[in-house]
Formats: sequence, structure tokens, C-alpha cells
Amino acid sequence: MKAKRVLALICTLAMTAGMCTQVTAADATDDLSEHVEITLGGVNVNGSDSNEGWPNEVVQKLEEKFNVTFTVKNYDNESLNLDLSGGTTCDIVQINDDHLEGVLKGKHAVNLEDYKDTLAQNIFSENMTFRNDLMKTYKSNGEGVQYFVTPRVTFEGSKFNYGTTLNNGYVVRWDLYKQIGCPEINNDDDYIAALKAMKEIYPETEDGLPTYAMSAYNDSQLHAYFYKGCLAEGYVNLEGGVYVQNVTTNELVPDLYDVGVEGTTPFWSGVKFYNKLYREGLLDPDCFITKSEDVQEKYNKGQYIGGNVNWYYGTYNENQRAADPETLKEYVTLPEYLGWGNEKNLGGWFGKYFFVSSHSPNVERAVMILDYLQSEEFSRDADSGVEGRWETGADGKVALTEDTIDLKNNGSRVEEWRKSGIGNGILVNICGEDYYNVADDGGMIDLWFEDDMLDDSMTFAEKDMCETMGLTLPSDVLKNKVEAGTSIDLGTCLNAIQMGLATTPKNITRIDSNCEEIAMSAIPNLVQAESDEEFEAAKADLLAQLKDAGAEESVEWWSNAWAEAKTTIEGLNK
Amino acid sequence: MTANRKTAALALHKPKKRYSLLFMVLPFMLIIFLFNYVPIFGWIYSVFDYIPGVPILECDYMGMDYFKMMLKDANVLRSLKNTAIFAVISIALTPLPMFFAIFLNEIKCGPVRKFVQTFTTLPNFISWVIIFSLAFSLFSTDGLLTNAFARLTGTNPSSVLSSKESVYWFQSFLGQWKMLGWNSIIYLAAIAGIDQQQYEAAKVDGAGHFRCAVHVTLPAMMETYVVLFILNIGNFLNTGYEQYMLFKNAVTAPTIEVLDLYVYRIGLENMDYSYGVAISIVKSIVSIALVVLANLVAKKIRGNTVI
Repeated sequence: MKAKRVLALICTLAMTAGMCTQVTAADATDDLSEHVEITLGGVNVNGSDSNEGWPNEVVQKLEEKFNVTFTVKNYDNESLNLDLSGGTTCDIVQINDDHLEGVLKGKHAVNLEDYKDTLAQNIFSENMTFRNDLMKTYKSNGEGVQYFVTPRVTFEGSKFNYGTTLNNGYVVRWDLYKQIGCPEINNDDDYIAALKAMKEIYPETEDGLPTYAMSAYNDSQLHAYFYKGCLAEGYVNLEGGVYVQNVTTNELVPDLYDVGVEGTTPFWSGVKFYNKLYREGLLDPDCFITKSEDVQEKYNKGQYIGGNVNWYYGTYNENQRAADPETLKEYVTLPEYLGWGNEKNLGGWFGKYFFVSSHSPNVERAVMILDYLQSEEFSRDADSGVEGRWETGADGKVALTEDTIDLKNNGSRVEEWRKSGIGNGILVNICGEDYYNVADDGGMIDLWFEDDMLDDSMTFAEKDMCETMGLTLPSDVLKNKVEAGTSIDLGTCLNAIQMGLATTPKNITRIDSNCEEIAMSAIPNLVQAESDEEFEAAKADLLAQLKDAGAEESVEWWSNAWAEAKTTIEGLNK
Repeated sequence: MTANRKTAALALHKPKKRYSLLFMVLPFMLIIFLFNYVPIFGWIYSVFDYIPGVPILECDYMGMDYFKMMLKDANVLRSLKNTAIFAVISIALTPLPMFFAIFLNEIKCGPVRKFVQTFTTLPNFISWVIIFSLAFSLFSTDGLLTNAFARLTGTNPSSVLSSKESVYWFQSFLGQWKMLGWNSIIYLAAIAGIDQQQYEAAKVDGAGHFRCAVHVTLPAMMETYVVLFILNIGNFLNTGYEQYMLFKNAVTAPTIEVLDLYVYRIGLENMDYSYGVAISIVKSIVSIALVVLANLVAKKIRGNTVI
């Protein structure tokens, strides 16, 4: 009897406490009198400890505004899982799809809707409605409430351009490409012919090292292969590259197990490309053992004359410019069929979900910070610097100041540049608005993308490229091709469909992971096939292995899940 | 009878000393308990569909499903085969450190012996990441040794790092290179413990360096060797994963993936913790069975056991 009374008392107290909590959330105020520490922890986000210039001007402004010390911590899967299991996560956490189920079922996230009218007005602004609907519908475990926000949401009416240079496509060494007469490159065969001609005039580096067309970065599983194919065939990949999305039709296509698929899928296109390079003697013989750092090192030594992405050649270009500001020895990128531009992230960047931890001792302050990260003000600060780094001119147009432009281009002001926080590697990945959104003052969020800013940042080699090829900007090659209809961009791609996919069941995840591993092991035989017959035999062998591993079961699940998500998302987007 | 009484009397008079000895062992027992027995609680994850962040008892109960799945998993069989090959090579090479210690012992010039010992022990302290970088610069197609070998033989440079056929011997060679000096230390200690009178007696009987090594040093080290051999049998499936993870690439993947690496891939990379734990449990049970078996064999052959 006594025990029952105690139990009843505990229940009453718990209910009262629950009611109190609700009252607190609904009546949340912006009390900033107490200084607190707020930490954001994110998967694949760099920590602020190792970020040069931290706390920079943008962070300092945030800290003063909310009376906090703001730090960022890197999570890998294991450390995040440990913190989730122990209930010791950071105040604000950024996760990917792998952790959604655990966060939702384990009740680790704060319901942001409790703060809709008080502390989270940027999150629930009109422009974010589509993103918020996605989060409520697909990322709430069926509860229909909002726990997460995504970064870089593209709004209606955003401007866009292709930037100064391209990030992905057919990479060439400009000096060599110029020497061979800048032949037009419209497909992989044209590109291989150009690479061959460039290698003939540059068989070894100045240090006597052999040169190759390119290699693969083997620490990213199949990425080197399917990503090359995505650019050539017009697809974007889902995580892992086992499935890809057609940019034009928004249909899902099984990338590895292409039985019954019309046309060439990105993986097979990429592998075939590498096979052609191999047969022409252009492929690095260490192609299957090079990891990102090895690829980077060989680019730095000038051993590669081509590539598909701009990730690795930055240091080479910088070194060449440091030695001779008027050098033509620089890598530039020419467009493939798909140009990675005009991307409309209506639901924000997928695979990056931010939430306020229910374990945070300062939930309200964390909600305020997350809301601020989502704001136009913070997004402009992260991309263009705090006000003063940019100003409104007499004509009412917002523009970066001359000093800010000099700050970026003047090598002797590196420290000051870092301290400004402009384009800071952490901040640009956590802010709410897309670079191309138009702010209330009429300027773009990222003022560096304003049309009149683009040609200011060109190097000597890029200017020479424009002069030689009759362009205004290096990226105009893509612009011209899109206008001519020979290339496409991401304008028609509804990438939000990926957010609407149901959680992948574990058995399907296992099959996909196994298929990925099987494909990895089959690549040497495919790439090193000496003839088309040998290639086809290796392909048939791989397809048989994939079938045995359950690829058909996986294709069936993904096709159904995609069809369902596509219908719903297209409906929401109308 | 008198002797027994004396022993009993001694035992009665020295209880305090025995307790103090037991107390001295307690911290070590505590460490063993904390780090070797408490983690066994983690085996519970193998019967649930564990999702990080969700309390284990709120996860779906799977029973023996993961163990059944393991029996159908072709990758388990493949990685088990690789593990067994590496383990057999490793066990076949277990006498190497012993012979190395004997040869080292025969170097009479003190500074030279110390230099050789230090030189061969140092690789043990080099991490596998550094060793991989070294191997890459030596054995890649542009690597120093690959090119030197190609020039010597007049063939095209071909990297051993991207050769499926070379995986077993090359990885075993690297393992031996790293551990040889370190593993020989225990044998050097055993040699130091050999009664010098035995060598003097052998020399009186006309034995030279070789005979002394074969008839005095070698038999004296057999006890140590058998103990280590049995422990090695117990570690048959524990090959570790760092080395294999670093040297794994598209070409070597089918032959280099050992059980530990597979568990790492399943458990940590794919976040399929429960299945990873299930494989680990079976691995532990097999390891214990092997130790017991080796111990029984040792008892049968030598008349005494190690554990």
C-alpha cells in the first residue's frame, strides 16, 4: 500500500515536471544574461580546435550576439555512436542518414516546433516551408513533427551562374593543352586523344618522373569510377554509388547491376573510360593502390596531366604561381556532358541533418544558435564576411569592399583573411541558405558569385585560356555548351527525392555493401582487360556475382522506395 | 608423516604472508576483470538488432538469427580461409625468432650484437601506417626497389603491392620484419638463464659453437618455445586488422581480408554492430577451443600442461 502511494507520488511529480517542461518550451524567451558554452558536433565537420583564425570575425559576432562561447567538434561514426549511447552528445549535432533512426528512436533530438513562434523563427520562415515539410514527413519517424534542419536551402528566385571555373569535368594542364592546339573535347574519346597528345609532348616531368593521364583514389570505394561516369552520362549518385539518379528524368537507375537498363550507367561508363586509358598506356600503373594522399602527391609533382575533379591540383597551381605569377603551367577544367552547376537544393543539402540535443544543459540557447545558423544574416556573414567587409553603395547595390577583394587576393594578408572568417571551411557547411539566394538587400548571399566579381579572381593561366578560346570566363565553355544543348546542368534535378526515401532495411544495406565490395574487387579485371571481349567477359562475371549476392532483391526494394518517394516529393514541390 | 605435519604447521603459521601476496595480485585481477570479463557483457548485442543511441533492451530481439546468417555468409568463409593461411604461415615461422636469438647470441662482439639487436627490435615500434608509406615508396611501380629489380632483370616494373598472388608471402614477410627482433627478446632472456657450466661441460667434451647451440641452447629454449607456440595456437584467428586494412586495395581485397578486418568492416564501417559481435563470439569460442586442444596435445607429448 505504502509502495503504491510512493509510486503515485512519483507519477504525479513526473507529470507536473512534464507540464512544466512544456510550459518552458512554449514560453521560451531570449534570456541571454548567463554566458554559456555551446558546442556543435558534426560528422565529417572539421573541429574548431584546428581551424586557423578561430574564433574569426563571424564567430565572434555570433558569440557576442548570444553571449556564448561557440566551438565545433568533429564526430566520426564511432564517437557519435558512443555519445548517442551515453546521452552525452554536443548541444547541436549534425548527423547523416545512418544515424537518423538511432536519434529518433532514442529521443535524442528536441522538437523544434515547440519554439516555432519564439526562438526558431528563421527555421520556420516562409522560404523554408518545403524543407520543413520534408523534415516533418520523412525525418520524424512518422511523428509528423520537426526535429531536423538542413543547410544551404535554395529559395525561390535565387540567381545562379557557373562561377569562374568549373570544379568537375575534363581536367587538362593548360600549357600542354594549348600546345596541342586546344582540340575540342566533346566526349571521353576526344579527351583520351587529347591526353595522349599531351603525354607525347610531356612524357616525363622536369625532375625525370614518368607522367600519366590520371589515377584513381582508392580510399573512397567506387567513387573514382561512378563519379567519372556521372559526369559523362548525366547522373547524380546516391550514397555509395550503387544507385544513381538521372538528372533529366529524375528516375533511379541501378548503377552496378545494370541488367535491363537502357544505355550506359555511370559505373560502367567510368570503368570503360579507365579501361581505355589502360589500353592506351595512359593510366598510372599504381591505379589500384593510390589513395587520395598519393594522388595529391603525384599531382604536386606534375605527374598527372588530366583528371576529373579539382580537389587535387590546387597545390600544384599555387606552387607554380608562387614560382612564376605569369605561369601557364596550371590545371584547368573543361566541361563533360553534365556540368555540376545550377543545383537547386530545395530541401537543403541531403545527408546533413542538424538537431538540438535533448541532453544539452542549454537547450534554449542551442535552439537560438541553430536558428541563427539558419538565418540570412549568418549565411551572408559566412560567405561574404560581416557587414563592413561588404557595403551598400550609393546606387543601393550591395558589394564587397575593395579592401575585402584585396584581402582575398593578397598573399601577404593570409592571416587577416583567415580572421575575417569569409568562406571558412566550417561555417560554409553549417549555414542555412544557399550561396545563390538573394538576400533582402538585393545582393546574393555569397557576394563573390555576383556577376561583376567573377573575373576578378582569374589567374594568369585562366586569363590566357579565356583569351585563347575567346571566353569571358573559363566556365563559359559549359555555359555555351548548355545553351547549345550539348551539355546539361543540374537545373532539372530534383535531388530532394533522396530525402523522401524510406529508411533502408538492414538486409538491403548488407546486400548493397556486399555488392560494393564485390565490384571493388572486380575493377582490376575490368580496367586491365586487353580487349572488348575480355571486358565483356569480366562484366558478365561481375554481374553473375552481384546476382548471387542478392542484387535483384536490392533493385526491387530501391525501385519501389524511389517510385513512392518521387511521387510524394514531386507532389510537395508543385 | 612428520614432513606432512611440518608443512601443515608452516601453513598455519604463515597465513598473513599468503594474504598479503593475494592482495598484491588483486589490482591485476581487477584489471583483468574490468578489461577482459566486463566486455563480455557486450555479447548481448549479438541477439538484438542494435541501433546506436537506442537502449539495447528497446531494440528488436533477434535470437540466433545473426549466428545463422554467419553460416550463409560467403565472406566469412573467404576471410576465414585467409586468416587460416596467414596463421599457418605465422605458426610455421614461429621458430625464426628462436634461431635469430641463437645466432645473435653467437655474435661475440658486444657493440655489433647490440647494434643488430636494436636494429631488428626498432621496427616493432613503427606503426603500420608508417610501414605502409615506406612500402609504398619502395614497392610501388615508381618505387625504388621495384625499379631497381626491373633494371636488374630487364623486365617492366610491376608492383608487389598490387599483386594478388604475392599477398600471403609479402604480408608475412612484412610481419616477420616488424616483429622478429622483438619476439627474439624472450629467447635471449631464456639463453641468459642457461647455466654456463653446461656450455663449459660441452666444450670439455669437444663441442664447438654449433654443437653447443644445438645440444645446449636449443633444448634449453624448448620449454619457452612450446609455451609461446601454444599461445600462438590460441591466437590462430587473432591476426589483427591494421596491417591488412592498410594494404587492402582493389587487387588484394579478396585475399587480404582476414576475419578481424571483416569484423571491423561489418561492425564499424557498416555499423552492423550486432552481426559483428556475433562473428567475434564465434571467433572467441574457436580460439578457446584451440588453446585447450593445443594444451591437451602438449600434455600428451611432453607430460605437462601450460595452462
